[in-house]
Amino acid sequence: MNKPVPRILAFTTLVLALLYFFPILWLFITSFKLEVDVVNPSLFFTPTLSHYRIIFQGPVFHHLMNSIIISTLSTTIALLLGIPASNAIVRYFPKKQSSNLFFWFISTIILPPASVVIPIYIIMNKIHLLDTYFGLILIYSAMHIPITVWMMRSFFKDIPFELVEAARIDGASELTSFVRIILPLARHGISATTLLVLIFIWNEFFFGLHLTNTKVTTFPILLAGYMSQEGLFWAKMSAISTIAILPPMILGWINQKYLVQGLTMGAVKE
Amino acid sequence: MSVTKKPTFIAFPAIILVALVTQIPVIFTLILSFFRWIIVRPDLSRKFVGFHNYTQLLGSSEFWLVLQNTFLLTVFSLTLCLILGFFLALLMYRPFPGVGIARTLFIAPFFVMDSVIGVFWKNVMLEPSFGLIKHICSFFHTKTPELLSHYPLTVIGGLVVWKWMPFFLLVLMAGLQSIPSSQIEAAMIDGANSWRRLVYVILPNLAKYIGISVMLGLIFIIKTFGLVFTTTKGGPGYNTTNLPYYVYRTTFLGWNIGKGSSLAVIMIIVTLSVLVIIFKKMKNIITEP
Repeated sequence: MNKPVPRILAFTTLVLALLYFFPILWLFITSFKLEVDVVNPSLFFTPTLSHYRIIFQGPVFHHLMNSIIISTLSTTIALLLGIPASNAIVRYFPKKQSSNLFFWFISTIILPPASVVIPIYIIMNKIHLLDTYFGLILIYSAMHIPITVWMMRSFFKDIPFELVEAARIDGASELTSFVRIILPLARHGISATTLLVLIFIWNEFFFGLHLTNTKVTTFPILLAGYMSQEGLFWAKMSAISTIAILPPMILGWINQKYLVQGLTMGAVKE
Repeated sequence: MSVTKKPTFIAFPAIILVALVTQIPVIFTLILSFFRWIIVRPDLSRKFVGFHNYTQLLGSSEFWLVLQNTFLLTVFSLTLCLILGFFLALLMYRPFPGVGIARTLFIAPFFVMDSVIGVFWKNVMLEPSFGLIKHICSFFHTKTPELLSHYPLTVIGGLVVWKWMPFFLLVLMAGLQSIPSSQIEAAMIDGANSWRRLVYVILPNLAKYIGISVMLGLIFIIKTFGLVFTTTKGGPGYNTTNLPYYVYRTTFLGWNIGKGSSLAVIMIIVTLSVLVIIFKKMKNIITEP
Protein backbone atom coordinates (compact mmCIF):
# COMPACT_ATOMS: atom_id res chain seq x y z
CA MET A 1 0.00 0.00 0.00
CA ASN A 2 1.82 3.11 1.23
CA LYS A 3 0.74 5.55 -1.40
CA PRO A 4 3.31 8.30 -1.81
CA VAL A 5 3.15 11.25 0.56
CA PRO A 6 1.67 14.27 -1.22
CA ARG A 7 4.39 16.75 -2.10
CA ILE A 8 2.70 19.59 -0.25
CA LEU A 9 2.67 17.58 2.99
CA ALA A 10 6.31 16.64 2.62
CA PHE A 11 7.18 20.28 2.03
CA THR A 12 5.15 21.47 5.03
CA THR A 13 6.85 18.90 7.25
CA LEU A 14 10.29 20.09 6.19
CA VAL A 15 9.38 23.74 6.82
CA LEU A 16 8.02 22.85 10.27
CA ALA A 17 11.19 20.90 11.04
CA LEU A 18 13.33 23.86 10.07
CA LEU A 19 11.26 26.20 12.26
CA TYR A 20 11.53 23.77 15.15
CA PHE A 21 15.29 23.61 14.78
CA PHE A 22 15.67 27.33 14.18
CA PRO A 23 16.53 28.36 17.79
CA ILE A 24 19.50 25.98 17.74
CA LEU A 25 20.58 27.33 14.37
CA TRP A 26 20.28 30.83 15.77
CA LEU A 27 22.49 29.82 18.70
CA PHE A 28 25.16 28.59 16.24
CA ILE A 29 24.92 31.78 14.18
CA THR A 30 25.10 34.03 17.24
CA SER A 31 28.25 32.27 18.40
CA PHE A 32 30.10 33.50 15.28
CA LYS A 33 29.07 37.14 15.70
CA LEU A 34 30.99 39.96 17.31
CA GLU A 35 29.29 41.17 20.47
CA VAL A 36 28.34 44.43 18.70
CA ASP A 37 26.52 42.55 15.94
CA VAL A 38 24.55 40.33 18.27
CA VAL A 39 21.52 42.56 18.83
CA ASN A 40 21.22 43.10 15.06
CA PRO A 41 19.30 40.18 13.57
CA SER A 42 20.90 40.65 10.15
CA LEU A 43 22.60 37.61 8.65
CA PHE A 44 25.21 39.84 7.00
CA PHE A 45 28.07 40.13 9.44
CA THR A 46 31.75 39.32 9.53
CA PRO A 47 31.98 35.93 11.18
CA THR A 48 34.52 35.54 13.93
CA LEU A 49 35.95 32.55 15.74
CA SER A 50 37.22 34.69 18.59
CA HIS A 51 34.61 33.46 21.07
CA TYR A 52 35.68 29.88 20.58
CA ARG A 53 39.14 30.80 21.80
CA ILE A 54 37.67 31.30 25.26
CA ILE A 55 36.89 27.61 25.43
CA PHE A 56 40.58 26.86 25.70
CA GLN A 57 41.24 29.43 28.35
CA GLY A 58 41.24 29.28 32.12
CA PRO A 59 37.94 28.63 33.86
CA VAL A 60 35.84 27.59 30.86
CA PHE A 61 38.38 24.97 29.83
CA HIS A 62 38.56 23.77 33.42
CA HIS A 63 34.78 23.24 33.52
CA LEU A 64 34.77 21.57 30.11
CA MET A 65 37.39 19.11 31.34
CA ASN A 66 35.30 18.53 34.49
CA SER A 67 32.32 17.64 32.34
CA ILE A 68 34.37 15.31 30.14
CA ILE A 69 36.07 13.54 33.05
CA ILE A 70 32.95 13.20 35.18
CA SER A 71 30.58 12.06 32.43
CA THR A 72 32.94 9.49 30.89
CA LEU A 73 34.04 8.01 34.22
CA SER A 74 30.49 7.91 35.64
CA THR A 75 29.14 6.31 32.48
CA THR A 76 31.90 3.70 32.52
CA ILE A 77 31.22 2.75 36.13
CA ALA A 78 27.43 2.66 35.63
CA LEU A 79 27.87 0.35 32.64
CA LEU A 80 30.51 -1.88 34.25
CA LEU A 81 28.22 -2.51 37.21
CA GLY A 82 24.87 -2.32 35.43
CA ILE A 83 25.42 -4.52 32.37
CA PRO A 84 26.62 -7.68 34.17
CA ALA A 85 23.95 -7.13 36.83
CA SER A 86 21.24 -6.92 34.20
CA ASN A 87 22.43 -10.11 32.54
CA ALA A 88 22.65 -11.89 35.88
CA ILE A 89 19.12 -10.86 36.81
CA VAL A 90 17.79 -12.07 33.46
CA ARG A 91 19.61 -15.39 33.58
CA TYR A 92 20.41 -16.49 37.11
CA PHE A 93 17.55 -15.32 39.29
CA PRO A 94 14.26 -17.22 39.67
CA LYS A 95 11.56 -15.69 37.49
CA LYS A 96 9.55 -14.04 40.27
CA GLN A 97 12.61 -12.60 41.99
CA SER A 98 13.99 -11.38 38.70
CA SER A 99 10.79 -9.54 37.82
CA ASN A 100 10.66 -7.96 41.29
CA LEU A 101 14.26 -6.81 41.03
CA PHE A 102 13.62 -5.12 37.70
CA PHE A 103 10.55 -3.50 39.14
CA TRP A 104 12.59 -2.23 42.05
CA PHE A 105 15.15 -0.72 39.68
CA ILE A 106 12.52 1.13 37.69
CA SER A 107 10.96 2.42 40.91
CA THR A 108 14.26 4.12 41.70
CA ILE A 109 14.19 5.80 38.29
CA ILE A 110 10.81 7.27 39.18
CA LEU A 111 12.11 8.62 42.49
CA PRO A 112 12.46 12.41 42.14
CA PRO A 113 16.06 13.57 42.76
CA ALA A 114 14.68 16.34 44.95
CA SER A 115 13.47 13.75 47.44
CA VAL A 116 16.91 12.27 48.09
CA VAL A 117 19.20 15.26 47.70
CA ILE A 118 18.96 16.57 51.28
CA PRO A 119 20.45 13.55 53.08
CA ILE A 120 22.97 13.07 50.29
CA TYR A 121 24.07 16.66 50.75
CA ILE A 122 24.26 16.34 54.53
CA ILE A 123 26.19 13.07 54.45
CA MET A 124 28.58 14.23 51.74
CA ASN A 125 29.16 17.43 53.66
CA LYS A 126 30.02 15.40 56.79
CA ILE A 127 32.51 13.13 55.03
CA HIS A 128 33.93 15.97 52.90
CA LEU A 129 32.78 14.68 49.54
CA LEU A 130 31.01 17.86 48.41
CA ASP A 131 32.67 19.48 45.42
CA THR A 132 34.95 16.49 44.78
CA TYR A 133 35.25 14.37 41.64
CA PHE A 134 34.81 11.21 43.69
CA GLY A 135 31.55 12.43 45.24
CA LEU A 136 29.89 13.53 42.03
CA ILE A 137 31.04 10.44 40.09
CA LEU A 138 29.76 8.19 42.87
CA ILE A 139 26.30 9.79 42.75
CA TYR A 140 26.12 9.98 38.96
CA SER A 141 27.18 6.39 38.36
CA ALA A 142 24.87 5.04 41.05
CA MET A 143 21.93 7.11 39.82
CA HIS A 144 22.34 5.76 36.29
CA ILE A 145 22.71 2.07 37.12
CA PRO A 146 18.92 1.52 37.20
CA ILE A 147 18.43 2.88 33.70
CA THR A 148 21.34 0.74 32.45
CA VAL A 149 19.95 -2.39 34.06
CA TRP A 150 16.46 -1.70 32.74
CA MET A 151 17.51 -0.88 29.18
CA MET A 152 19.88 -3.83 28.82
CA ARG A 153 17.22 -6.21 30.07
CA SER A 154 15.27 -6.34 26.81
CA PHE A 155 18.43 -6.89 24.79
CA PHE A 156 19.61 -9.73 27.02
CA LYS A 157 16.18 -11.34 26.93
CA ASP A 158 16.37 -11.40 23.12
CA ILE A 159 19.46 -13.61 23.11
CA PRO A 160 18.37 -17.19 22.44
CA PHE A 161 18.81 -19.38 25.46
CA GLU A 162 20.05 -22.27 23.26
CA LEU A 163 23.12 -20.30 22.16
CA VAL A 164 24.37 -19.85 25.70
CA GLU A 165 23.46 -23.40 26.58
CA ALA A 166 25.39 -24.73 23.56
CA ALA A 167 28.46 -22.81 24.68
CA ARG A 168 28.12 -24.28 28.14
CA ILE A 169 28.02 -27.80 26.73
CA ASP A 170 31.18 -26.99 24.79
CA GLY A 171 32.77 -26.28 28.14
CA ALA A 172 32.68 -22.49 28.19
CA SER A 173 32.55 -20.89 31.62
CA GLU A 174 29.89 -18.33 32.55
CA LEU A 175 32.43 -15.57 32.11
CA THR A 176 33.59 -16.81 28.71
CA SER A 177 30.08 -17.13 27.34
CA PHE A 178 29.19 -13.69 28.72
CA VAL A 179 32.19 -12.04 27.07
CA ARG A 180 32.30 -14.10 23.86
CA ILE A 181 28.62 -14.68 23.09
CA ILE A 182 26.27 -12.49 25.10
CA LEU A 183 28.10 -9.16 24.91
CA PRO A 184 28.68 -9.22 21.13
CA LEU A 185 25.02 -10.08 20.54
CA ALA A 186 23.89 -7.25 22.79
CA ARG A 187 26.19 -4.67 21.21
CA HIS A 188 23.39 -2.50 19.81
CA GLY A 189 21.85 -2.37 23.24
CA ILE A 190 25.19 -1.49 24.78
CA SER A 191 25.76 1.36 22.36
CA ALA A 192 22.23 2.73 22.83
CA THR A 193 22.61 2.52 26.61
CA THR A 194 26.07 4.07 26.63
CA LEU A 195 24.84 6.91 24.48
CA LEU A 196 21.81 7.71 26.61
CA VAL A 197 23.57 7.46 29.94
CA LEU A 198 26.37 9.64 28.60
CA ILE A 199 23.89 12.26 27.37
CA PHE A 200 21.90 12.20 30.61
CA ILE A 201 25.03 12.69 32.73
CA TRP A 202 26.53 15.33 30.42
CA ASN A 203 23.31 17.35 30.68
CA GLU A 204 22.61 16.63 34.37
CA PHE A 205 21.76 19.77 36.30
CA PHE A 206 20.11 18.98 39.62
CA PHE A 207 22.84 17.09 41.48
CA GLY A 208 25.54 19.08 39.72
CA LEU A 209 24.11 22.25 41.19
CA HIS A 210 23.71 20.92 44.70
CA LEU A 211 26.85 18.87 45.14
CA THR A 212 29.46 21.14 43.58
CA ASN A 213 30.70 24.54 44.47
CA THR A 214 33.55 25.83 42.31
CA LYS A 215 36.10 23.08 41.85
CA VAL A 216 34.25 20.29 40.04
CA THR A 217 31.42 22.39 38.59
CA THR A 218 30.30 20.94 35.27
CA PHE A 219 29.31 22.74 32.07
CA PRO A 220 25.53 22.94 32.65
CA ILE A 221 26.10 24.65 36.01
CA LEU A 222 28.68 27.02 34.57
CA LEU A 223 26.25 28.09 31.85
CA ALA A 224 23.38 28.65 34.25
CA GLY A 225 25.44 31.17 36.19
CA TYR A 226 27.21 32.63 33.19
CA MET A 227 24.79 35.38 32.26
CA SER A 228 24.48 36.73 35.79
CA GLN A 229 28.22 36.67 36.43
CA GLU A 230 29.57 37.92 33.14
CA GLY A 231 26.82 40.30 32.04
CA LEU A 232 25.50 40.56 28.53
CA PHE A 233 28.01 38.65 26.46
CA TRP A 234 25.54 36.84 24.26
CA ALA A 235 27.97 35.74 21.59
CA LYS A 236 30.46 34.35 24.08
CA MET A 237 27.63 32.58 25.89
CA SER A 238 26.40 31.16 22.57
CA ALA A 239 29.85 29.82 21.72
CA ILE A 240 30.14 28.05 25.08
CA SER A 241 26.59 26.72 24.67
CA THR A 242 27.42 25.41 21.20
CA ILE A 243 30.34 23.45 22.60
CA ALA A 244 28.08 22.17 25.36
CA ILE A 245 25.28 20.91 23.12
CA LEU A 246 27.19 19.63 20.09
CA PRO A 247 28.61 16.40 21.58
CA PRO A 248 25.25 14.97 22.74
CA MET A 249 23.53 16.15 19.57
CA ILE A 250 26.04 14.48 17.25
CA LEU A 251 26.01 11.29 19.32
CA GLY A 252 22.22 11.30 19.26
CA TRP A 253 22.01 11.91 15.55
CA ILE A 254 24.44 9.10 14.75
CA ASN A 255 22.50 6.66 16.91
CA GLN A 256 18.97 7.63 15.85
CA LYS A 257 18.25 4.04 14.89
CA TYR A 258 18.56 2.61 18.37
CA LEU A 259 17.28 5.68 20.10
CA VAL A 260 13.65 4.63 20.37
CA GLN A 261 14.40 1.30 21.93
CA GLY A 262 16.85 3.04 24.19
CA LEU A 263 14.52 5.85 25.17
CA THR A 264 11.62 3.60 25.95
CA MET A 265 14.06 1.48 27.94
CA GLY A 266 13.35 -1.44 25.71
CA ALA A 267 9.66 -1.41 26.51
CA VAL A 268 8.83 -0.91 22.85
CA LYS A 269 10.63 -2.69 20.07
CA GLU A 270 10.93 -1.31 16.60
CA MET B 1 21.37 -26.74 33.31
CA SER B 2 23.17 -26.93 36.60
CA VAL B 3 21.30 -25.43 39.51
CA THR B 4 24.22 -25.46 41.88
CA LYS B 5 26.35 -22.48 40.88
CA LYS B 6 24.45 -19.59 39.46
CA PRO B 7 26.59 -16.51 39.93
CA THR B 8 23.81 -14.30 41.26
CA PHE B 9 26.38 -12.34 43.27
CA ILE B 10 27.31 -10.47 40.07
CA ALA B 11 24.19 -8.36 40.53
CA PHE B 12 24.95 -7.40 44.13
CA PRO B 13 27.38 -4.49 43.66
CA ALA B 14 24.85 -2.70 41.46
CA ILE B 15 21.96 -3.41 43.84
CA ILE B 16 23.95 -2.32 46.89
CA LEU B 17 25.18 0.90 45.30
CA VAL B 18 21.70 1.86 44.07
CA ALA B 19 20.19 1.11 47.48
CA LEU B 20 22.91 3.19 49.09
CA VAL B 21 22.15 6.34 47.12
CA THR B 22 18.37 5.97 46.83
CA GLN B 23 16.77 3.88 49.59
CA ILE B 24 18.86 5.06 52.52
CA PRO B 25 18.42 8.76 51.64
CA VAL B 26 14.65 8.24 51.37
CA ILE B 27 14.51 6.81 54.88
CA PHE B 28 16.80 9.60 56.12
CA THR B 29 14.55 12.21 54.44
CA LEU B 30 11.52 10.72 56.16
CA ILE B 31 13.23 10.96 59.55
CA LEU B 32 14.42 14.52 58.95
CA SER B 33 10.91 15.58 57.99
CA PHE B 34 9.80 15.10 61.61
CA PHE B 35 12.48 17.41 62.95
CA ARG B 36 12.81 21.13 63.35
CA TRP B 37 16.20 21.90 61.86
CA ILE B 38 16.85 25.35 60.47
CA ILE B 39 20.53 25.85 59.77
CA VAL B 40 20.34 29.65 59.71
CA ARG B 41 18.65 29.69 63.11
CA PRO B 42 21.18 28.05 65.45
CA ASP B 43 19.23 29.50 68.38
CA LEU B 44 16.41 27.03 67.68
CA SER B 45 17.89 23.68 68.57
CA ARG B 46 17.34 20.59 66.43
CA LYS B 47 14.28 18.92 67.89
CA PHE B 48 11.62 16.30 67.17
CA VAL B 49 8.37 18.06 66.25
CA GLY B 50 6.19 15.25 64.92
CA PHE B 51 3.98 16.28 62.06
CA HIS B 52 4.51 20.00 62.67
CA ASN B 53 6.39 20.53 59.36
CA TYR B 54 3.60 18.84 57.45
CA THR B 55 0.75 20.73 59.08
CA GLN B 56 2.63 23.98 58.59
CA LEU B 57 3.09 23.18 54.89
CA LEU B 58 -0.45 22.05 54.25
CA GLY B 59 -1.70 25.21 55.94
CA SER B 60 0.36 27.58 53.80
CA SER B 61 -1.04 29.06 50.61
CA GLU B 62 2.41 28.82 48.97
CA PHE B 63 2.37 25.07 49.12
CA TRP B 64 -0.97 24.81 47.34
CA LEU B 65 0.17 27.29 44.72
CA VAL B 66 3.31 25.20 44.15
CA LEU B 67 1.25 22.03 43.88
CA GLN B 68 -1.05 23.72 41.40
CA ASN B 69 1.93 24.97 39.36
CA THR B 70 3.41 21.48 39.26
CA PHE B 71 0.10 20.04 38.15
CA LEU B 72 -0.52 22.70 35.48
CA LEU B 73 3.02 22.56 34.13
CA THR B 74 3.01 18.78 33.89
CA VAL B 75 -0.46 18.34 32.43
CA PHE B 76 -0.10 21.26 29.99
CA SER B 77 3.27 20.03 28.69
CA LEU B 78 2.27 16.39 28.49
CA THR B 79 -0.92 17.15 26.58
CA LEU B 80 0.79 19.44 24.12
CA CYS B 81 3.69 17.02 23.63
CA LEU B 82 1.29 14.21 22.91
CA ILE B 83 -0.91 16.15 20.48
CA LEU B 84 1.99 17.73 18.58
CA GLY B 85 3.99 14.52 18.63
CA PHE B 86 1.09 12.50 17.29
CA PHE B 87 0.30 15.04 14.58
CA LEU B 88 3.91 15.18 13.41
CA ALA B 89 4.30 11.41 13.62
CA LEU B 90 1.32 11.06 11.28
CA LEU B 91 3.07 13.42 8.86
CA MET B 92 6.36 11.61 9.04
CA TYR B 93 5.88 7.88 9.45
CA ARG B 94 5.74 7.22 5.72
CA PRO B 95 8.99 7.78 3.87
CA PHE B 96 9.39 10.77 1.58
CA PRO B 97 12.48 12.52 0.26
CA GLY B 98 13.92 14.54 3.14
CA VAL B 99 12.12 12.70 5.93
CA GLY B 100 15.47 11.79 7.47
CA ILE B 101 16.47 15.45 7.54
CA ALA B 102 13.12 16.45 9.05
CA ARG B 103 13.47 13.84 11.79
CA THR B 104 17.05 14.85 12.50
CA LEU B 105 16.01 18.50 12.86
CA PHE B 106 13.01 17.69 15.04
CA ILE B 107 14.86 15.54 17.56
CA ALA B 108 17.75 17.97 18.07
CA PRO B 109 16.23 19.93 21.01
CA PHE B 110 15.94 16.70 22.98
CA PHE B 111 19.73 16.59 23.34
CA VAL B 112 20.11 20.20 24.44
CA MET B 113 20.84 20.64 28.14
CA ASP B 114 18.23 22.45 30.23
CA SER B 115 20.54 25.26 31.27
CA VAL B 116 21.32 26.13 27.65
CA ILE B 117 17.62 26.05 26.75
CA GLY B 118 16.72 28.31 29.66
CA VAL B 119 19.54 30.82 29.33
CA PHE B 120 19.39 31.05 25.55
CA TRP B 121 15.61 31.37 25.18
CA LYS B 122 15.42 33.85 28.03
CA ASN B 123 18.21 36.13 26.85
CA VAL B 124 18.55 35.80 23.11
CA MET B 125 15.13 34.72 21.87
CA LEU B 126 12.55 36.23 24.22
CA GLU B 127 14.35 39.24 25.73
CA PRO B 128 11.83 42.05 24.98
CA SER B 129 14.25 44.92 24.18
CA PHE B 130 17.07 43.20 22.23
CA GLY B 131 15.92 39.63 21.69
CA LEU B 132 14.97 38.08 18.40
CA ILE B 133 11.28 38.33 19.32
CA LYS B 134 11.55 42.13 19.22
CA HIS B 135 12.75 42.05 15.61
CA ILE B 136 10.08 39.57 14.61
CA CYS B 137 7.38 41.71 16.21
CA SER B 138 8.61 44.94 14.66
CA PHE B 139 8.62 43.19 11.28
CA PHE B 140 4.91 42.53 11.75
CA HIS B 141 4.44 45.98 13.31
CA THR B 142 3.14 44.64 16.60
CA LYS B 143 4.16 45.47 20.13
CA THR B 144 6.75 43.12 21.63
CA PRO B 145 5.10 41.02 24.35
CA GLU B 146 7.03 40.53 27.58
CA LEU B 147 6.35 36.84 27.51
CA LEU B 148 8.57 35.72 30.34
CA SER B 149 7.34 38.34 32.79
CA HIS B 150 3.66 38.14 31.89
CA TYR B 151 3.20 34.43 31.22
CA PRO B 152 6.17 32.82 32.99
CA LEU B 153 4.61 29.43 33.67
CA THR B 154 3.33 29.13 30.10
CA VAL B 155 6.78 29.98 28.73
CA ILE B 156 8.43 27.34 30.92
CA GLY B 157 5.76 24.90 29.76
CA GLY B 158 6.54 25.83 26.17
CA LEU B 159 10.25 25.15 26.71
CA VAL B 160 9.43 21.79 28.29
CA VAL B 161 7.35 20.97 25.21
CA TRP B 162 10.13 22.10 22.86
CA LYS B 163 12.54 19.73 24.57
CA TRP B 164 10.23 16.72 25.15
CA MET B 165 7.98 16.69 22.07
CA PRO B 166 10.75 14.99 20.02
CA PHE B 167 10.67 12.07 22.44
CA PHE B 168 6.93 11.64 21.87
CA LEU B 169 7.45 12.00 18.13
CA LEU B 170 10.09 9.25 18.02
CA VAL B 171 8.09 6.79 20.09
CA LEU B 172 4.81 7.41 18.22
CA MET B 173 6.57 7.18 14.86
CA ALA B 174 7.97 3.81 15.86
CA GLY B 175 4.45 2.85 16.86
CA LEU B 176 2.92 3.91 13.56
CA GLN B 177 5.60 2.07 11.62
CA SER B 178 4.90 -1.09 13.60
CA ILE B 179 1.28 -1.26 12.39
CA PRO B 180 1.10 -3.96 9.73
CA SER B 181 0.24 -2.24 6.46
CA SER B 182 -2.12 -5.12 5.64
CA GLN B 183 -4.45 -3.89 8.38
CA ILE B 184 -4.64 -0.40 6.92
CA GLU B 185 -4.98 -1.84 3.45
CA ALA B 186 -7.86 -4.07 4.51
CA ALA B 187 -9.61 -1.10 6.07
CA MET B 188 -9.14 0.85 2.85
CA ILE B 189 -10.57 -1.95 0.75
CA ASP B 190 -13.53 -2.04 3.11
CA GLY B 191 -14.05 1.58 2.22
CA ALA B 192 -13.00 3.17 5.51
CA ASN B 193 -12.18 6.84 5.04
CA SER B 194 -9.05 8.29 6.60
CA TRP B 195 -10.88 9.41 9.76
CA ARG B 196 -12.28 5.94 10.39
CA ARG B 197 -8.91 4.38 9.64
CA LEU B 198 -7.40 6.67 12.28
CA VAL B 199 -9.98 5.83 14.93
CA TYR B 200 -10.48 2.12 14.32
CA VAL B 201 -7.10 0.94 13.03
CA ILE B 202 -4.35 3.34 13.95
CA LEU B 203 -5.33 4.47 17.47
CA PRO B 204 -5.97 1.00 18.95
CA ASN B 205 -2.64 -0.21 17.59
CA LEU B 206 -0.93 2.85 18.99
CA ALA B 207 -2.39 2.65 22.51
CA LYS B 208 0.64 0.90 23.96
CA TYR B 209 3.03 3.46 22.50
CA ILE B 210 0.91 6.37 23.69
CA GLY B 211 0.84 4.84 27.17
CA ILE B 212 4.60 4.41 27.30
CA SER B 213 5.36 7.89 26.00
CA VAL B 214 2.99 9.47 28.51
CA MET B 215 4.37 7.48 31.41
CA LEU B 216 8.02 8.13 30.67
CA GLY B 217 7.27 11.74 29.73
CA LEU B 218 5.55 12.17 33.08
CA ILE B 219 8.48 10.67 35.00
CA PHE B 220 10.87 13.16 33.44
CA ILE B 221 8.65 16.25 33.17
CA ILE B 222 7.54 16.13 36.80
CA LYS B 223 11.24 16.52 37.74
CA THR B 224 11.62 19.78 35.76
CA PHE B 225 14.17 21.89 37.60
CA GLY B 226 16.90 23.33 35.38
CA LEU B 227 14.47 25.22 33.17
CA VAL B 228 12.85 26.90 36.17
CA PHE B 229 16.23 27.68 37.67
CA THR B 230 17.61 29.34 34.54
CA THR B 231 14.51 31.29 33.47
CA THR B 232 12.53 32.59 36.44
CA LYS B 233 14.14 31.18 39.59
CA GLY B 234 10.62 30.22 40.61
CA GLY B 235 9.38 33.82 40.59
CA PRO B 236 7.70 36.24 40.52
CA GLY B 237 6.77 35.28 44.06
CA TYR B 238 5.98 31.59 43.93
CA ASN B 239 4.26 31.79 40.55
CA THR B 240 6.58 29.44 38.68
CA THR B 241 7.87 27.36 41.59
CA ASN B 242 7.16 23.66 41.13
CA LEU B 243 7.76 20.91 43.68
CA PRO B 244 11.42 20.15 42.87
CA TYR B 245 12.24 23.85 42.85
CA TYR B 246 10.33 24.38 46.11
CA VAL B 247 12.47 21.71 47.77
CA TYR B 248 15.57 23.54 46.54
CA ARG B 249 14.26 26.93 47.65
CA THR B 250 13.28 25.77 51.12
CA THR B 251 16.33 23.65 51.80
CA PHE B 252 19.21 25.32 50.01
CA LEU B 253 18.11 28.95 49.95
CA GLY B 254 16.05 29.01 53.16
CA TRP B 255 18.20 26.33 54.88
CA ASN B 256 15.12 24.87 56.52
CA ILE B 257 16.08 21.21 56.45
CA GLY B 258 12.99 19.92 58.28
CA LYS B 259 10.47 21.71 56.08
CA GLY B 260 12.42 20.82 52.92
CA SER B 261 12.47 17.16 53.91
CA SER B 262 8.74 17.05 54.56
CA LEU B 263 8.24 18.62 51.10
CA ALA B 264 10.47 15.95 49.62
CA VAL B 265 8.36 13.26 51.29
CA ILE B 266 5.18 14.84 49.92
CA MET B 267 6.80 14.89 46.51
CA ILE B 268 7.51 11.16 46.70
CA ILE B 269 3.90 10.52 47.70
CA VAL B 270 2.50 12.69 44.88
CA THR B 271 4.79 11.21 42.21
CA LEU B 272 4.25 7.64 43.31
CA SER B 273 0.48 7.90 43.59
CA VAL B 274 0.17 9.43 40.12
CA LEU B 275 2.48 6.82 38.65
CA VAL B 276 0.97 3.86 40.45
CA ILE B 277 -2.34 4.66 38.76
CA ILE B 278 -0.73 4.67 35.33
CA PHE B 279 1.61 1.83 36.20
CA LYS B 280 -1.23 -0.50 37.13
CA LYS B 281 -2.47 -0.23 33.59
CA MET B 282 0.99 -0.35 32.10
CA LYS B 283 2.76 -3.03 34.13
CA ASN B 284 1.81 -5.90 31.88
CA ILE B 285 2.84 -4.03 28.77
CA ILE B 286 6.22 -3.02 30.13
CA THR B 287 7.33 -6.14 31.89
CA GLU B 288 6.23 -8.55 29.20
CA PRO B 289 8.93 -9.15 26.60
